[in-house]
Amino acid sequence: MPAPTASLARVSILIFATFTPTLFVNRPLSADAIDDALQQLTEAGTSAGAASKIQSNWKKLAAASPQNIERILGSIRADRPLAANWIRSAAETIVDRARREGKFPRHDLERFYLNQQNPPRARRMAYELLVQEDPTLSASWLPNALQDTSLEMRRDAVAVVLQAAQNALQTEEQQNESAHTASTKLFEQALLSARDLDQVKLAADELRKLGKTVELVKHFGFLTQWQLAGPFDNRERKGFTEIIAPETDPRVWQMATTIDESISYTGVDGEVHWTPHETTDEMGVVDLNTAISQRKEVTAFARTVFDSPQAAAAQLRMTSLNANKTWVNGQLVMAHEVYHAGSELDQYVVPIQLRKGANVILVKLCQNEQTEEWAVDWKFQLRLCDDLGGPLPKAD
Amino acid sequence: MLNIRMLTRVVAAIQLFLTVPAQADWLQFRGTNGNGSSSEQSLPVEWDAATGKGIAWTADLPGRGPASPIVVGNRVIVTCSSGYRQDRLHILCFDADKGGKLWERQFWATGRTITHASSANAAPTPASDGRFIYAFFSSNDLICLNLEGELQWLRGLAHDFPKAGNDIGMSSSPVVIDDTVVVQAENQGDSFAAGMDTSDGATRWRVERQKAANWSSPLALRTPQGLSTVVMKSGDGITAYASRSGQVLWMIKAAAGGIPSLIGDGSHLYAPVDGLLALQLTAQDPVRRWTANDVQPGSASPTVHNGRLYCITRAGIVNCLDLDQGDRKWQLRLSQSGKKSSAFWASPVAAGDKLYCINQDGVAFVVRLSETGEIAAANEFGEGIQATPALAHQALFVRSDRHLWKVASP
Repeated sequence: MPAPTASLARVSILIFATFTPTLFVNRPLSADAIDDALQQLTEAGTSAGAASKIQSNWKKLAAASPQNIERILGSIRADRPLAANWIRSAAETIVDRARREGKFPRHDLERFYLNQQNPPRARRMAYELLVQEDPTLSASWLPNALQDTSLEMRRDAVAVVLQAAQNALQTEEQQNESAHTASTKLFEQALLSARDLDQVKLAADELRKLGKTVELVKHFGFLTQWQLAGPFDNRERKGFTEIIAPETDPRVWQMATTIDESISYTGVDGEVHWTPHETTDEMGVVDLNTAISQRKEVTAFARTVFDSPQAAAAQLRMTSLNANKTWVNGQLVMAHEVYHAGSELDQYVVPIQLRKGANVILVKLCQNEQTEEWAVDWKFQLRLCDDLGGPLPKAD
Repeated sequence: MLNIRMLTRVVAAIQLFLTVPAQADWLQFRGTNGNGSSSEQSLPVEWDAATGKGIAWTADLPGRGPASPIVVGNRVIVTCSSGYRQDRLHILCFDADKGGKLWERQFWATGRTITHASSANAAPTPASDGRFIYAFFSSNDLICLNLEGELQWLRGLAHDFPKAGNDIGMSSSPVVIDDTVVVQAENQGDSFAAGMDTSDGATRWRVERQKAANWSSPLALRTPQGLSTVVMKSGDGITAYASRSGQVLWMIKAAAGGIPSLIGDGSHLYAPVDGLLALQLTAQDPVRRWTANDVQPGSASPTVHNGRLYCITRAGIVNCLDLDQGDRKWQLRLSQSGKKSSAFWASPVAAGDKLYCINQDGVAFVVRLSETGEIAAANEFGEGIQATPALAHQALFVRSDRHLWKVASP
């Protein structure tokens, strides 16, 4: 081969070897490109239909360098649950790859987790990724997570304190120490932070055994003072959709704590009046079978007033096996036409806006025709709380 | 010159060829044919999870779930849900031979996650067409991954239908047919069934369903005339839909609500109603062939295998029926001597001359099938089990809330 031709070939090979990989290997995404992909994912339709666009942005993100993990996790928003899953999955892919390549972004994830301003679920994800790498981190971080904005972090932190309380109690009993000072303090600490029913009940039960008074109604923020009106008709389950007199009675929405008991409506058995009812159930259960009468195919109303010291965002949490509607200050905030199909605490959760002062809450609760023994219940629990399930302050 | 688009097509074609469902796969609830029957040979009779006898491998699971494992090639796919609120969704892939975890993907539930304590968000069994995995949860989250665990698309059906849910828990498993993944989400709220395009999750069709709780799964089948059909049952009847359009092909009235699912053998459907109802599939409406009112299936779905139908009653009695006439051939109480009978949530599955029935206490009865049935073994898993086993790779894949086992003859 003549020399010039050989040189040309070598140069060609060099050029090919130099530039070809760049055609096939993803270049690192710029911060702007990542932000753009995140924006596209976050704004993507919540339904299908733009799948190819979403997939393409997901692939871009999933190929990003682990150095971008904070930026990516930080874009996970509670009010964009589907986008959150796309972004979460991309972050998982990035971290998996980084692990295989020995580039696990530990410091970035630590910084992200420790910043309480970051989204709670994304922080929890960062925490779990870190603990997978270094299980000792949980022992150093959980003691500081009792007031965490992530309910999962808080739960783990409470579990640690509950365990410490049980250990302290055991030691105290072995040493015949009757004061139980240490265990009581720990159980009280756990109860203060606990938001999940199982942990609350465990701490409450132990404190009661230790002679302490625990008011679960206050802990959860159950509303216990009601006025009830019923029974009204719910034959053929029509009472749920039919507008019944109390729903349109303007006197119901007046801010007075109680409504005039002389006001009457026509119910299934004749005249119906508002009657006061205070539940003494420690979990705030209002049992209409007891308070009104054990009936089938009936509807009743419950009214209360919550006095808020300030205008505030809150959550209204309803638990009931019966079809229900709830209004706050005249506005329907939830409606569930479901009968006897499973239930647990905080079954229905809705964000509401409280005004300063009196807030009138009206509940409509329908009982159906089912006669099975598991279809007898006609009751509800209702509480107002913050978005982590803690009680709201009441006006003095 | 081979351009990128052509190259992509070639690669896709090769991938498709490599991932065509093998006969040994177990691609959905009750197997690839949805009838609980397998052609596997040499399946084990005796094992013991406590000692490890007959256990090829055991894997820990990060969450609960009555969902069955499925087997796609050399991959075993399992879904779980975890967290105090059951709002953490897990999709895991294990090596079928060695048991190692190949990958895990997690998601957050976007719909209702409350279930009865005995159930879990991961109650529906995932489905696969051999190329992709379609994982469905009680929270109405539908997630499509490829076999490497890469997210292809996801749907939060509760976002579109926020009242869809049942706080006892939803358990209907999806089916895949004709590039359509079909879900049946029946409940007292937004009650519907829908078919989604497998390529992007877009809704091909949606139909309203009876507003009542229903835990049974749809059945995908090709009629003798070659029509791709999805059949569903509920309290008001049995309805067949064209799989790609959702067009109603036929409907018959029958009190067919409840938990156990339909089953078919290609030419007939067998429906748990008030007893059992056999329907012959025709070019028009199906023809009622027989009813067996004296056989009441419990929560487990029936199995059709080698010309016989097997179902377990609430009392834990397995019944064998002749498929032609519905005559009962034999009955057998599934209990261990000196022990009380326990409920069966896992559907029975069959291969060769063996029927496998696992009760909620984790006792796996192996029934030897002949002119009568006899208990060949009662094997203990030592943990409660609700999931129907998968039969593939000459093994049973069984999952509890904590473990996944491969049970195989040494």
